[in-house]
Amino acid sequence: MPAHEITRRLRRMLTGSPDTPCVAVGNFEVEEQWAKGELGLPKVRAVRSNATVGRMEEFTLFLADSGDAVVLRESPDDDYLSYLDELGVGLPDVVVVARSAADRTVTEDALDDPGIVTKMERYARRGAHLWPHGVSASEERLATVAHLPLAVSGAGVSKEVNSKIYSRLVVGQLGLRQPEGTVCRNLDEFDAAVRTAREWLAAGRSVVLKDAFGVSGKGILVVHEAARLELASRMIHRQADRHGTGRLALVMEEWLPKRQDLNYQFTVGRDGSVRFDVVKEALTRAGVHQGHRMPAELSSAHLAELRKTAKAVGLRLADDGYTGVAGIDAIITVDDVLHPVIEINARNNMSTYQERLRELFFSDGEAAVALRHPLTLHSRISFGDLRRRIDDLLLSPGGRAGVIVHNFATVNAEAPTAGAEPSGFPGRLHAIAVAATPQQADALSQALQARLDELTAPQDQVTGRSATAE
Amino acid sequence: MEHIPAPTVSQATTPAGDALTHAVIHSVATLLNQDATTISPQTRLFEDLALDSTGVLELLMQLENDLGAEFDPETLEPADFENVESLVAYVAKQGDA
Repeated sequence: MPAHEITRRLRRMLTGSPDTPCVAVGNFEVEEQWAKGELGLPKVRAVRSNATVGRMEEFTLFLADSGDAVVLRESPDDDYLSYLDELGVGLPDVVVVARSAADRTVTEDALDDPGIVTKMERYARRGAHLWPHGVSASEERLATVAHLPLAVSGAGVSKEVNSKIYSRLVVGQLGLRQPEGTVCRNLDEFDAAVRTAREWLAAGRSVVLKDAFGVSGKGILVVHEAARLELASRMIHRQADRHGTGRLALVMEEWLPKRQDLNYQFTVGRDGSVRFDVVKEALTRAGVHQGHRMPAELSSAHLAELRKTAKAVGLRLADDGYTGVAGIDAIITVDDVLHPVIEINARNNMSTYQERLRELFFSDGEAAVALRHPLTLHSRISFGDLRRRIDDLLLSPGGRAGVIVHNFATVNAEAPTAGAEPSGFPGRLHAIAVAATPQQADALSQALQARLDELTAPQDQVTGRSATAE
Repeated sequence: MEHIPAPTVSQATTPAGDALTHAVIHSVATLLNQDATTISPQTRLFEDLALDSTGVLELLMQLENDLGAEFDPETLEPADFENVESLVAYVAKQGDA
């Protein structure tokens, strides 16, 4: 039986019973699956595939609970599991796929594992549900093959709800505030949007073109000049010509100057109920998500508006057949206007994997900052070795201040394979710093980064930041 | 920033290749608002200049604008964006196509 209240509440909403076991799958690449076959901004394959994103799967250790299972590409470091056990996280069983390939998702690895049905049998017998990070056709297949019903909506609804076209249309129908803009489902709509954008640019306003199925932080083109708009327009037309289609999946919006990024999460139950979970300040750099600050600094009016929006959007999602956790990105502009829906993420969010830790360690007024810490290594590092270097910073069980290591697998994800020429490689440590005040939490994060910098290789070998941040 | 006349893509062979390299460096520098003298053929686009996937698309647009060329982003391979030198080779190859 799941030990934590947050786990039980989610199971109750998603499966009808608080005691339903689950098998979690961390297919963090699900948005790439949804984007396949969709034409938006010209696609570039210049960025190498990112093993780090694939190993974010280890976050599922915080989704599954004791009595559950997680399906992973690789076994977690034993010392890391012991550390989580000490913290009282509640460890699930770990099921490792037979063979992992860099160009596949963990779900595809599992589908290629001839023993997966046997491995899942004991969970299926107990009535377990499959709970992926997000649902594409692959996760539906795995659910069928493993005889595990999905805890959340299927691929069709999930993809539709995740589209920025869906969110613009729904937000408009609900009468909620959003940046001025339009959806582009075909070249005719795109050409009309370009005509509007020309007028806005001439009036000194900036615009943004977004892939309807863009992966977080990617698929966004901010345009400040008319010449750039025309170049983008020509590229998009040429792409459509090459593919022989007039179909598009883009949105065009005004690009608003913002002072705060927010992310809030709610859950849509199988009975259509909606529960507001949490709101956090999202920390970004150059449009790429870096982490969260909790609690978000928000006026009571803005908080009330977010709660009201979550309810309205959640009920609409339920009407459209969606069940599961959903996240919404919102912004507050420099003139203090809240735009409560910039996009809807129809999948688990980082908050989903932080909620149990919040319940355990920072639900009582503490401040927390969750960050991805870059580091550079010459060779793989074990959790034991890392822990020796940062042990005095770590949160002790029952403690009120300290650092929690939230994902260790991403540290060594980019390590060269055996036999490859040794070289420095970028890693990433996901950690949450908890303290009495935001300033103290920031100081803890900085202290952690300083320790990690001590591991960093000389600059002429490799820089300390990941070149392929998702 | 010093103005560097942009050669056409067909000038990709030496010595015009040097001109193309200069032009690509100029485009990269313009896009990133960076001093062109800090960028060499060996400069790595992702690691040294922190270019990301959005930046790649913007750079292609900058190159189209500066060189009067047209590129098909789908023909790009990760190796083409390894460093400035490989990008110059890609631009030259596209010009020959």
